[in-house]
Amino acid sequence: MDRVGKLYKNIQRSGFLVLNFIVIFVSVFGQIPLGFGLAYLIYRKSVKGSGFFQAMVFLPMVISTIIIGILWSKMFSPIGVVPRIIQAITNNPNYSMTIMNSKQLAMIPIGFVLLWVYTGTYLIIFLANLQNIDPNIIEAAQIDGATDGQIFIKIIVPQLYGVIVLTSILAISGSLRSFDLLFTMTGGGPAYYTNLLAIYMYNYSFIHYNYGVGSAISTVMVILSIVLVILVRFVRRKVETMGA
Amino acid sequence: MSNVTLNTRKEQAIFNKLLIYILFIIFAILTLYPLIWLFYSSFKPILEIIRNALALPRDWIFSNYIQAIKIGKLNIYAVNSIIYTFVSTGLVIIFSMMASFAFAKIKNRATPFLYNSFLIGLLITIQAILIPLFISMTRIGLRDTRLGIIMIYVAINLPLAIFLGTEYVKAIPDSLIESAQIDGASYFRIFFSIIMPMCKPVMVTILIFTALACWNEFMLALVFTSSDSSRSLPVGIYSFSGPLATEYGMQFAALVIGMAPMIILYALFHRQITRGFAAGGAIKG
Amino acid sequence: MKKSLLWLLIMILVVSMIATFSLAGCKKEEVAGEEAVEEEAVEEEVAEEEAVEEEVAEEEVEVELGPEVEITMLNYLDITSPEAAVWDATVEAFNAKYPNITLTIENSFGDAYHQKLAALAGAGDLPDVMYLWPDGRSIEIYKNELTEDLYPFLGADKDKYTPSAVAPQYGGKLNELPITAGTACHVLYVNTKILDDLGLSMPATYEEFVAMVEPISAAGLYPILMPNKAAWVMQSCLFSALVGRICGQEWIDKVLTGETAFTDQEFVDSLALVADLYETGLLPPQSIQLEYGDGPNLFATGRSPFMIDGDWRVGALTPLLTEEEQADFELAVFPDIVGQKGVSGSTAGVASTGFGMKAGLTGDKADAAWKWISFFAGPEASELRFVEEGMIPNYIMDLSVYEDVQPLVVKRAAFYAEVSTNTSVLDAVITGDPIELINSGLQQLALGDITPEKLAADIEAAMELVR
Repeated sequence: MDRVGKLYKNIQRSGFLVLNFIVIFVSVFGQIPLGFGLAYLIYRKSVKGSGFFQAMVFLPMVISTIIIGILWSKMFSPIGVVPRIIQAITNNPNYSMTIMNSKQLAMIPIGFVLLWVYTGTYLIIFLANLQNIDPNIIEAAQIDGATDGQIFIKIIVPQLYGVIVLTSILAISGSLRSFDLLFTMTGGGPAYYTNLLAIYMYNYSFIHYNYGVGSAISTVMVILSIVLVILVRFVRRKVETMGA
Repeated sequence: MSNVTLNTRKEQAIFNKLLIYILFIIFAILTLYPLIWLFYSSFKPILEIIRNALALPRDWIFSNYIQAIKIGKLNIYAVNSIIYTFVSTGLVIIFSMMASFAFAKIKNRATPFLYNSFLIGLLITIQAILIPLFISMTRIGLRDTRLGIIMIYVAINLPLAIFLGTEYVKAIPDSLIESAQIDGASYFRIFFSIIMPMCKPVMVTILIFTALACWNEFMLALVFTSSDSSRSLPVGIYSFSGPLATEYGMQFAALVIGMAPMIILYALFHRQITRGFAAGGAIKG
Repeated sequence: MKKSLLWLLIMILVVSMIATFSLAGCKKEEVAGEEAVEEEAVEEEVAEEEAVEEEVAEEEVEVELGPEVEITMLNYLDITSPEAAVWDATVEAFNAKYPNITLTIENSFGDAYHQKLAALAGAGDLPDVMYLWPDGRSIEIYKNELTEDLYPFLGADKDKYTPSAVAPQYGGKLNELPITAGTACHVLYVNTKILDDLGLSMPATYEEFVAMVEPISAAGLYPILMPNKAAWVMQSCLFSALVGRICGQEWIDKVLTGETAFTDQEFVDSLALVADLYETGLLPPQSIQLEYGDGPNLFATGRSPFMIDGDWRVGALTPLLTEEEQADFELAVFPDIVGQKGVSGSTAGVASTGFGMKAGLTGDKADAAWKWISFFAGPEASELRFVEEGMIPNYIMDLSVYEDVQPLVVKRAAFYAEVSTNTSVLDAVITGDPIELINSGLQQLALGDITPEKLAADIEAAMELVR
């Protein structure tokens, strides 16, 4: 019990949970809507060459996360590409990127990379499901004089509740487990600004050789994701009954 | 935007279209630029990378690649990675389809329990099972063997495969199976001549998910392998990015070597890959 | 649907119970059980072994090739580093000398190494010989008595090594045979050419150092280069030396036992100095985002007149510089600080790393393992490391006979002679939670997220629990 108390105190002190929820938030409310939006644009044939764009957005998914982590840590490094480009754009050669030194903003580059990697997945999933929708329904609605917005909200979204739930579950479990990317990009630093539970657990198990605490953290992670998954299922049922 | 007057619907439409194109082009650039940058940087000597990260190499040197392969033994590791990916993926497809058939069509009282216990596997982190797994693998004598790695890869990839497979098999009408049973077909026959052929799309999906996961897996390979004969490519690549590493040229070359096969395959088969991936997502949760 | 929800709930209960027990509770039992078994085995073997050892010690004759033996080894090496060539040469020399001994080597590095060692120790499957730290990071291995005491093997040869380097380590044993006389974790590397170009000279005091920020920054350079994206760098390469300087070694010894406290003014001052380094701009804000590997590369391209790093970085710097360029580089230490209680010009250092032997090795295997361990610390391997990297051997030998060495290597050797006082490196004497807190706390301090007083109090509170 002592151990659990200590663990709780440490977690509280360092705000790991908040950081974890930021990652979950980015995953669920960033990747999914963005993927959905892009998929919808492709579905409504708003762009030519959609095959190419689709391939581009999905491309990062086939690359190993450790490679992505190393690559982006080089990109965001003070001597890397991103600060250079900003220097060139702002015409200020002395610009130095400091958002990663800020407690509030340190997660931004990581959120960005998460979007970069995973948006493609959701784009593909949503696109496949959109293509399963009977086009006659949309035509009928258009004949009835419905606007694009109305069609989207009243017809498309309700048809995809199931997919939204599925993708949310994938996003939540995926983001709680995101370790490789964080490990290679920031290693949890600076200070503990990007220290997620998975990294915290790794540190305890392998740097301080304290498997007890490490295992306790993994248990917390498993329970947390189960709770979140149940929550998503619950919300879905509510929404479904409301819709019906 | 208020100063932009949009008189007709047509102008509005063109404007929207333009915005959408810009959005997509930004996405394409964001994806491609880092990869292109990595590619040309891998031909620069180390101090040139430090002096100017953006510039193209003045003269293209290949020694980074030669050295990376020689020092990092990436050629051996690549063979291992190929073995792991092929064998594990094949086994996962066979096992998961069998399990999916059973879970979806041959139900009994234990089915929900067994099925859910596989689904829980979706939530368990690799790090959480690392130490207990390490201890048991060592005791059995499977640590640092190819067989051991393949077994673990099969085990950790089964949950998702079973989930996808079961949801897919559920959608196959019971009447098909029933009529086959009336004709006197055994479960094995039904499985091989009805279920398997009908499940091709989801099998492609499982193939893609599993092959990607096995090819890119890092953590387990790092811990469970010691000798050159069992290490995989990501482990070899990571050895260039250790905490004291300064050889960025070689490091970049190793990264390119690590991702090139997948990108080439993707360029050749991206339609099949995205379609297969989509088939997995088309299942309603 | 309802039924499946029920099932899910039951599953969750079951799994969370299984998870809690199997991961947290049972695991401990398991490990404990295993240890008990191992201990028994070890005890038996120790008895046997002592008998064998005596024989071995007596009949230890050179050139005598024993039977064919294979020993497994976990080595700490970055295969991509310049040091890798030296390592290969060393192994080659060993194989030539002892063709009957087959070395099965696994190279690992950084966190991967520690993780591997932890897992191997947990599984009770340590390699025959392994690269170890005198204290700090290898302490768990020693606490569980997983290594053999090397003193019986060393015997009378002890006189051939630097006395301070073969002093008793954890538990009064020689857990590993150090390969060098010691490691200076803090070195202030100086590029004198840049200093001359800017019309500056070496600072003698901290105030002079701070006064140099403006001219150096105006030239578009980093005043001090210390890439500390990884949290240990600040603590190991600078802060430990600062504590040694401001508080003195005596204070460090006492704080471990609780006679002095981290809340003492000296320690708070040391923390405040770190904050001040960032406030004055001596350490630019980017430094906390620079990767450790960026350091030598940036320094070699002349992006800063000063770099703070460990003495081991000479190995990475030399290949980047021509011999003429190396003439412009010097090794020094942080200037004096007003009110310091420690010795002027001191650095922080640790006893060196080296190979240790798995507990319970006997007979030919132990013999072969010792042959490797003593070879690696012995004259042949030491010579290779000195000539290529400037590592000062633990083995007492005449170094003046080597002439054809790189200028920076010579300077490294001279550095040890100049800097006589070594204070403790904090992560060598403090482990677990407190050191984690110091490491991340120093980064917080750099980012202005915590006050020195608050951090000192936190460290003291964490330390109280482990004293």
